[in-house]
Amino acid sequence: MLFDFLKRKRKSAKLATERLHIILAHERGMARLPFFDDLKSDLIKVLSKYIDTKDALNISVSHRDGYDFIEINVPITGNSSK
Amino acid sequence: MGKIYTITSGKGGVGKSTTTANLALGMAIAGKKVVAIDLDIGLRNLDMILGLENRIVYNIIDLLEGRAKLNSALIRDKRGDNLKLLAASQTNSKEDLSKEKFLDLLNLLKEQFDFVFIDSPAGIETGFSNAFAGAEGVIIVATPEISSIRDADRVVGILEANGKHNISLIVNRIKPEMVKKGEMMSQDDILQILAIDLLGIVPDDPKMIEYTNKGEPAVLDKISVTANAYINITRRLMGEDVPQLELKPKSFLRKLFERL
Ligand SMILES: Nc1ncnc2c1ncn2[C@@H]1O[C@H](COP(=O)(O)OP(=O)(O)OP(=O)(O)O)[C@@H](O)[C@H]1O
Ligand SMILES: [Mg+2]
Repeated sequence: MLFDFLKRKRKSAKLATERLHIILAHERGMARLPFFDDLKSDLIKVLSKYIDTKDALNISVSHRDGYDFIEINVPITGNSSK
Repeated sequence: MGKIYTITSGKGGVGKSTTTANLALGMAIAGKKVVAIDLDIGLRNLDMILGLENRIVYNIIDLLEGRAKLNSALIRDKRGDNLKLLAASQTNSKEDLSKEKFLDLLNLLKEQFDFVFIDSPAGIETGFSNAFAGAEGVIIVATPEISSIRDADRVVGILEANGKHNISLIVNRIKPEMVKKGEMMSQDDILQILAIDLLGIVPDDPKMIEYTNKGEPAVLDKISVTANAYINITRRLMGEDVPQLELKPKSFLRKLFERL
Protein backbone atom coordinates (compact mmCIF):
# COMPACT_ATOMS: atom_id res chain seq x y z
CA MET A 1 0.00 0.00 0.00
CA LEU A 2 2.86 2.28 0.80
CA PHE A 3 4.26 1.33 -2.60
CA ASP A 4 1.03 2.38 -4.32
CA PHE A 5 1.20 5.65 -2.55
CA LEU A 6 4.75 6.30 -3.69
CA LYS A 7 3.88 5.40 -7.24
CA ARG A 8 1.04 7.85 -7.27
CA LYS A 9 3.33 10.53 -5.91
CA ARG A 10 5.68 10.16 -8.85
CA LYS A 11 5.17 13.28 -10.90
CA SER A 12 3.84 12.93 -14.42
CA ALA A 13 6.50 15.22 -15.91
CA LYS A 14 9.18 12.80 -14.72
CA LEU A 15 7.30 9.92 -16.21
CA ALA A 16 6.94 11.76 -19.54
CA THR A 17 10.69 12.42 -19.62
CA GLU A 18 11.51 8.78 -18.96
CA ARG A 19 9.07 7.51 -21.57
CA LEU A 20 10.46 9.92 -24.16
CA HIS A 21 14.05 8.91 -23.46
CA ILE A 22 13.19 5.29 -24.13
CA ILE A 23 11.08 5.71 -27.24
CA LEU A 24 13.43 8.24 -28.83
CA ALA A 25 16.51 6.11 -28.24
CA HIS A 26 14.67 3.39 -30.14
CA GLU A 27 13.42 5.64 -32.94
CA ARG A 28 16.80 7.29 -33.47
CA GLY A 29 18.38 3.85 -33.70
CA MET A 30 15.80 2.84 -36.29
CA ALA A 31 16.58 5.95 -38.30
CA ARG A 32 20.28 5.06 -38.33
CA LEU A 33 19.64 1.44 -39.29
CA PRO A 34 17.29 1.61 -42.25
CA PHE A 35 17.59 -2.15 -42.76
CA PHE A 36 16.29 -2.83 -39.27
CA ASP A 37 12.76 -3.91 -40.25
CA ASP A 38 14.08 -6.44 -42.77
CA LEU A 39 16.64 -7.73 -40.31
CA LYS A 40 13.94 -8.10 -37.71
CA SER A 41 11.69 -10.21 -39.90
CA ASP A 42 14.64 -12.38 -40.95
CA LEU A 43 15.60 -12.90 -37.33
CA ILE A 44 12.05 -13.89 -36.46
CA LYS A 45 12.06 -16.39 -39.33
CA VAL A 46 15.24 -18.03 -38.08
CA LEU A 47 14.27 -18.00 -34.42
CA SER A 48 10.87 -19.49 -35.07
CA LYS A 49 12.51 -22.55 -36.62
CA TYR A 50 13.73 -23.48 -33.16
CA ILE A 51 11.46 -21.86 -30.64
CA ASP A 52 7.94 -20.68 -30.23
CA THR A 53 8.23 -16.98 -30.94
CA LYS A 54 4.54 -16.20 -31.01
CA ASP A 55 4.50 -13.86 -28.11
CA ALA A 56 6.74 -11.45 -26.29
CA LEU A 57 9.53 -11.57 -28.84
CA ASN A 58 11.25 -8.24 -28.51
CA ILE A 59 13.86 -6.98 -30.96
CA SER A 60 14.92 -3.40 -30.59
CA VAL A 61 17.72 -0.94 -31.16
CA SER A 62 19.29 1.02 -28.37
CA HIS A 63 22.16 3.45 -28.15
CA ARG A 64 24.73 3.42 -25.35
CA ASP A 65 28.27 4.68 -24.99
CA GLY A 66 28.44 5.73 -28.62
CA TYR A 67 27.34 2.37 -30.03
CA ASP A 68 24.08 1.07 -31.44
CA PHE A 69 22.97 -2.22 -29.96
CA ILE A 70 20.48 -4.61 -31.43
CA GLU A 71 18.78 -6.20 -28.49
CA ILE A 72 16.98 -9.47 -28.87
CA ASN A 73 14.88 -10.74 -26.01
CA VAL A 74 13.22 -14.08 -26.54
CA PRO A 75 11.47 -15.56 -23.56
CA ILE A 76 11.68 -19.35 -23.87
CA THR A 77 8.47 -20.69 -22.45
CA GLY A 78 7.44 -24.32 -21.83
CA ASN A 79 9.18 -26.87 -24.02
CA SER A 80 11.84 -24.90 -25.75
CA SER A 81 12.69 -27.66 -28.20
CA LYS A 82 9.81 -27.15 -30.60
CA MET B 1 22.45 39.84 -46.91
CA GLY B 2 19.31 38.85 -45.02
CA LYS B 3 18.82 35.74 -42.94
CA ILE B 4 16.19 33.15 -43.68
CA TYR B 5 14.53 31.21 -40.87
CA THR B 6 11.96 28.46 -41.24
CA ILE B 7 9.54 27.82 -38.40
CA THR B 8 8.48 24.21 -38.21
CA SER B 9 7.32 21.56 -35.74
CA GLY B 10 6.28 18.17 -37.04
CA LYS B 11 3.13 18.08 -34.96
CA GLY B 12 0.37 20.47 -36.00
CA GLY B 13 -1.26 23.13 -33.90
CA VAL B 14 1.67 23.77 -31.57
CA GLY B 15 2.03 27.45 -32.48
CA LYS B 16 4.15 27.77 -35.65
CA SER B 17 2.01 30.49 -37.23
CA THR B 18 1.60 32.37 -33.96
CA THR B 19 5.37 32.26 -33.46
CA THR B 20 6.09 33.36 -37.03
CA ALA B 21 3.71 36.31 -36.76
CA ASN B 22 5.16 37.50 -33.45
CA LEU B 23 8.80 37.09 -34.40
CA ALA B 24 8.28 38.84 -37.74
CA LEU B 25 6.36 41.74 -36.21
CA GLY B 26 8.73 41.94 -33.25
CA MET B 27 11.69 42.24 -35.61
CA ALA B 28 9.89 44.91 -37.64
CA ILE B 29 9.19 46.92 -34.50
CA ALA B 30 12.88 46.65 -33.65
CA GLY B 31 13.62 48.35 -36.96
CA LYS B 32 14.51 45.42 -39.18
CA LYS B 33 13.13 44.93 -42.65
CA VAL B 34 11.19 41.68 -42.55
CA VAL B 35 9.12 39.49 -44.79
CA ALA B 36 6.91 36.72 -43.42
CA ILE B 37 6.00 33.96 -45.86
CA ASP B 38 2.99 31.75 -45.31
CA LEU B 39 3.94 28.43 -46.90
CA ASP B 40 0.96 26.53 -45.59
CA ILE B 41 -0.49 26.41 -49.11
CA GLY B 42 -4.20 25.64 -49.01
CA LEU B 43 -4.54 26.57 -45.35
CA ARG B 44 -3.76 30.27 -45.21
CA ASN B 45 -3.45 31.47 -41.61
CA LEU B 46 -0.73 34.00 -41.03
CA ASP B 47 -2.77 36.80 -42.64
CA MET B 48 -5.48 36.59 -39.99
CA ILE B 49 -3.07 36.33 -37.06
CA LEU B 50 -1.42 39.51 -38.36
CA GLY B 51 -4.76 41.18 -39.14
CA LEU B 52 -3.89 41.62 -42.81
CA GLU B 53 -6.45 39.36 -44.46
CA ASN B 54 -8.30 42.25 -46.13
CA ARG B 55 -5.21 43.46 -47.91
CA ILE B 56 -4.43 40.32 -49.85
CA VAL B 57 -4.77 40.52 -53.60
CA TYR B 58 -2.03 38.22 -54.79
CA ASN B 59 -0.42 35.21 -53.12
CA ILE B 60 2.85 33.34 -53.40
CA ILE B 61 1.64 31.04 -56.18
CA ASP B 62 0.53 34.08 -58.22
CA LEU B 63 3.99 35.49 -57.74
CA LEU B 64 5.88 32.32 -58.59
CA GLU B 65 3.75 31.69 -61.66
CA GLY B 66 4.25 35.21 -62.94
CA ARG B 67 0.72 36.54 -62.48
CA ALA B 68 1.89 39.14 -59.98
CA LYS B 69 4.92 41.34 -59.52
CA LEU B 70 6.93 41.11 -56.32
CA ASN B 71 5.81 44.54 -55.14
CA SER B 72 2.13 43.79 -55.49
CA ALA B 73 2.42 40.35 -53.88
CA LEU B 74 4.21 41.67 -50.82
CA ILE B 75 1.46 42.93 -48.51
CA ARG B 76 2.37 45.91 -46.42
CA ASP B 77 1.76 45.66 -42.68
CA LYS B 78 -0.84 48.15 -41.45
CA ARG B 79 1.40 49.13 -38.52
CA GLY B 80 4.43 50.16 -40.49
CA ASP B 81 6.69 49.81 -43.46
CA ASN B 82 9.13 47.28 -42.08
CA LEU B 83 7.00 44.15 -42.30
CA LYS B 84 5.67 42.55 -45.47
CA LEU B 85 3.55 39.43 -45.76
CA LEU B 86 3.61 36.99 -48.63
CA ALA B 87 0.34 35.09 -48.31
CA ALA B 88 -0.36 31.44 -49.04
CA SER B 89 -2.74 30.52 -51.80
CA GLN B 90 -6.06 29.07 -50.67
CA THR B 91 -6.95 27.28 -53.88
CA ASN B 92 -3.75 25.41 -54.64
CA SER B 93 -2.19 22.34 -53.06
CA LYS B 94 1.27 21.96 -51.57
CA GLU B 95 2.53 20.24 -54.74
CA ASP B 96 1.79 23.34 -56.84
CA LEU B 97 4.76 25.19 -55.44
CA SER B 98 7.87 24.89 -57.58
CA LYS B 99 10.89 24.44 -55.35
CA GLU B 100 13.31 25.97 -57.89
CA LYS B 101 11.23 29.11 -58.32
CA PHE B 102 10.77 29.38 -54.58
CA LEU B 103 14.52 29.17 -53.98
CA ASP B 104 15.08 31.89 -56.60
CA LEU B 105 12.56 34.07 -54.80
CA LEU B 106 14.32 33.56 -51.47
CA ASN B 107 17.61 34.65 -53.01
CA LEU B 108 15.94 37.81 -54.25
CA LEU B 109 14.27 38.54 -50.89
CA LYS B 110 17.55 38.04 -49.08
CA GLU B 111 18.96 41.04 -50.90
CA GLN B 112 16.08 43.31 -49.95
CA PHE B 113 15.26 42.26 -46.39
CA ASP B 114 17.12 41.70 -43.13
CA PHE B 115 15.03 38.71 -42.11
CA VAL B 116 12.77 36.26 -43.90
CA PHE B 117 10.52 34.06 -41.75
CA ILE B 118 8.87 31.07 -43.37
CA ASP B 119 5.84 29.55 -41.66
CA SER B 120 5.68 25.90 -42.65
CA PRO B 121 2.78 23.47 -42.77
CA ALA B 122 2.42 20.70 -40.19
CA GLY B 123 3.76 17.29 -41.08
CA ILE B 124 6.84 16.05 -42.89
CA GLU B 125 5.46 15.83 -46.42
CA THR B 126 6.14 17.87 -49.59
CA GLY B 127 5.38 21.23 -48.06
CA PHE B 128 7.87 20.64 -45.29
CA SER B 129 10.90 19.97 -47.47
CA ASN B 130 10.09 23.07 -49.55
CA ALA B 131 9.88 25.12 -46.39
CA PHE B 132 13.34 24.35 -45.09
CA ALA B 133 15.13 24.01 -48.43
CA GLY B 134 16.39 27.57 -48.64
CA ALA B 135 16.73 28.36 -44.95
CA GLU B 136 19.99 28.78 -43.10
CA GLY B 137 18.28 28.49 -39.74
CA VAL B 138 15.43 26.24 -38.68
CA ILE B 139 13.36 27.06 -35.61
CA ILE B 140 11.45 24.17 -34.15
CA VAL B 141 8.38 24.95 -32.07
CA ALA B 142 7.36 22.34 -29.52
CA THR B 143 4.98 22.30 -26.58
CA PRO B 144 5.79 20.43 -23.35
CA GLU B 145 3.80 17.38 -24.45
CA ILE B 146 5.20 13.98 -25.32
CA SER B 147 3.67 13.81 -28.80
CA SER B 148 4.99 17.23 -29.73
CA ILE B 149 8.50 16.41 -28.51
CA ARG B 150 8.55 13.04 -30.20
CA ASP B 151 7.58 14.66 -33.51
CA ALA B 152 10.13 17.42 -32.99
CA ASP B 153 12.80 14.74 -32.64
CA ARG B 154 11.72 13.17 -35.93
CA VAL B 155 11.98 16.56 -37.60
CA VAL B 156 15.47 17.15 -36.16
CA GLY B 157 16.52 13.77 -37.58
CA ILE B 158 15.17 14.62 -41.03
CA LEU B 159 16.75 18.08 -41.01
CA GLU B 160 20.15 16.73 -40.03
CA ALA B 161 19.93 14.04 -42.69
CA ASN B 162 19.37 16.92 -45.15
CA GLY B 163 22.42 18.80 -44.01
CA LYS B 164 20.62 21.38 -41.87
CA HIS B 165 22.50 21.83 -38.63
CA ASN B 166 21.49 25.31 -37.52
CA ILE B 167 18.46 24.10 -35.58
CA SER B 168 17.09 25.74 -32.47
CA LEU B 169 14.09 25.24 -30.26
CA ILE B 170 11.26 27.38 -28.98
CA VAL B 171 9.29 25.76 -26.19
CA ASN B 172 5.79 27.18 -26.47
CA ARG B 173 2.86 27.19 -24.04
CA ILE B 174 4.78 26.62 -20.84
CA LYS B 175 2.68 26.76 -17.69
CA PRO B 176 5.06 27.69 -14.87
CA GLU B 177 2.59 26.62 -12.18
CA MET B 178 2.41 23.11 -13.59
CA VAL B 179 6.17 22.89 -14.13
CA LYS B 180 6.70 23.83 -10.52
CA LYS B 181 4.38 21.07 -9.36
CA GLY B 182 6.14 18.54 -11.58
CA GLU B 183 3.07 18.12 -13.75
CA MET B 184 4.65 19.53 -16.90
CA MET B 185 8.10 19.00 -18.38
CA SER B 186 10.38 21.99 -17.99
CA GLN B 187 12.40 23.47 -20.84
CA ASP B 188 15.47 21.81 -19.34
CA ASP B 189 13.82 18.38 -19.44
CA ILE B 190 12.92 18.98 -23.08
CA LEU B 191 16.35 20.28 -24.04
CA GLN B 192 18.01 17.29 -22.48
CA ILE B 193 15.85 15.00 -24.58
CA LEU B 194 16.14 16.82 -27.90
CA ALA B 195 19.77 17.94 -27.54
CA ILE B 196 19.41 21.11 -29.64
CA ASP B 197 19.96 24.76 -28.71
CA LEU B 198 17.28 26.67 -26.87
CA LEU B 199 16.21 29.79 -28.73
CA GLY B 200 13.55 30.76 -26.24
CA ILE B 201 10.48 29.95 -24.22
CA VAL B 202 6.96 31.33 -24.49
CA PRO B 203 4.35 31.02 -21.75
CA ASP B 204 0.89 29.63 -22.29
CA ASP B 205 -1.15 32.81 -22.55
CA PRO B 206 -4.95 32.73 -22.15
CA LYS B 207 -5.07 36.08 -23.94
CA MET B 208 -3.68 34.57 -27.13
CA ILE B 209 -7.18 34.03 -28.44
CA GLU B 210 -7.97 37.72 -27.95
CA TYR B 211 -4.84 38.74 -29.83
CA THR B 212 -5.84 36.47 -32.70
CA ASN B 213 -9.45 37.68 -32.60
CA LYS B 214 -8.26 41.23 -33.06
CA GLY B 215 -5.48 40.46 -35.51
CA GLU B 216 -3.01 42.13 -33.19
CA PRO B 217 -0.22 39.72 -32.22
CA ALA B 218 0.87 39.41 -28.59
CA VAL B 219 4.15 41.20 -29.23
CA LEU B 220 2.18 44.47 -29.59
CA ASP B 221 0.91 44.13 -26.00
CA LYS B 222 4.21 45.47 -24.74
CA ILE B 223 3.70 45.06 -21.01
CA SER B 224 2.76 41.38 -21.25
CA VAL B 225 5.14 38.56 -20.36
CA THR B 226 4.38 36.96 -23.70
CA ALA B 227 5.48 40.06 -25.64
CA ASN B 228 8.69 40.03 -23.64
CA ALA B 229 9.20 36.40 -24.46
CA TYR B 230 9.00 37.13 -28.19
CA ILE B 231 11.19 40.21 -27.91
CA ASN B 232 13.77 38.15 -26.02
CA ILE B 233 13.83 35.71 -28.94
CA THR B 234 14.10 38.40 -31.63
CA ARG B 235 17.04 39.94 -29.82
CA ARG B 236 18.79 36.61 -29.73
CA LEU B 237 18.14 36.20 -33.47
CA MET B 238 19.72 39.61 -34.01
CA GLY B 239 22.85 38.26 -32.38
CA GLU B 240 22.48 39.82 -28.94
CA ASP B 241 23.60 37.78 -25.99
CA VAL B 242 20.48 37.99 -23.82
CA PRO B 243 19.67 35.70 -20.90
CA GLN B 244 16.70 33.38 -21.20
CA LEU B 245 13.44 34.67 -19.83
CA GLU B 246 12.46 33.32 -16.44
CA LEU B 247 8.88 32.28 -16.12
CA LYS B 248 7.58 32.37 -12.59
CA PRO B 249 4.31 31.00 -11.34
CA LYS B 250 1.86 33.83 -10.81
CA SER B 251 1.43 34.98 -7.25
CA PHE B 252 -1.96 34.99 -5.60
CA LEU B 253 -2.03 38.77 -5.67
CA ARG B 254 -1.20 38.91 -9.34
CA LYS B 255 -3.98 36.47 -10.17
CA LEU B 256 -6.41 38.55 -8.15
CA PHE B 257 -5.22 41.70 -9.87
CA GLU B 258 -5.73 40.19 -13.31
CA ARG B 259 -9.30 39.29 -12.48
CA LEU B 260 -10.18 42.92 -11.78
N1 LIG C 1 1.73 30.63 -26.20
C1 LIG C 1 0.46 30.34 -26.44
N2 LIG C 1 -0.49 30.46 -25.46
C2 LIG C 1 -1.77 30.18 -25.72
N3 LIG C 1 -2.24 29.77 -26.90
C3 LIG C 1 -1.37 29.62 -27.90
C4 LIG C 1 0.02 29.90 -27.74
N4 LIG C 1 0.64 29.67 -28.94
C5 LIG C 1 -0.32 29.26 -29.78
N5 LIG C 1 -1.53 29.24 -29.20
C6 LIG C 1 -2.82 28.86 -29.80
O1 LIG C 1 -2.71 27.56 -30.33
C7 LIG C 1 -3.49 27.43 -31.51
C8 LIG C 1 -2.62 26.92 -32.65
O2 LIG C 1 -1.64 27.91 -32.96
P1 LIG C 1 -1.05 28.08 -34.42
O3 LIG C 1 -2.14 28.21 -35.42
O4 LIG C 1 -0.03 29.15 -34.35
O5 LIG C 1 -0.35 26.67 -34.57
P2 LIG C 1 0.31 26.03 -35.88
O6 LIG C 1 1.44 25.19 -35.40
O7 LIG C 1 0.61 27.09 -36.87
O8 LIG C 1 -0.87 25.14 -36.42
P3 LIG C 1 -0.93 24.37 -37.84
O9 LIG C 1 -0.08 23.14 -37.68
O10 LIG C 1 -2.37 24.04 -38.00
O11 LIG C 1 -0.39 25.31 -38.87
C9 LIG C 1 -4.08 28.80 -31.77
O12 LIG C 1 -5.38 28.82 -31.28
C10 LIG C 1 -3.18 29.74 -30.99
O13 LIG C 1 -3.84 30.90 -30.57
MG1 LIG D 1 0.03 27.26 -38.93
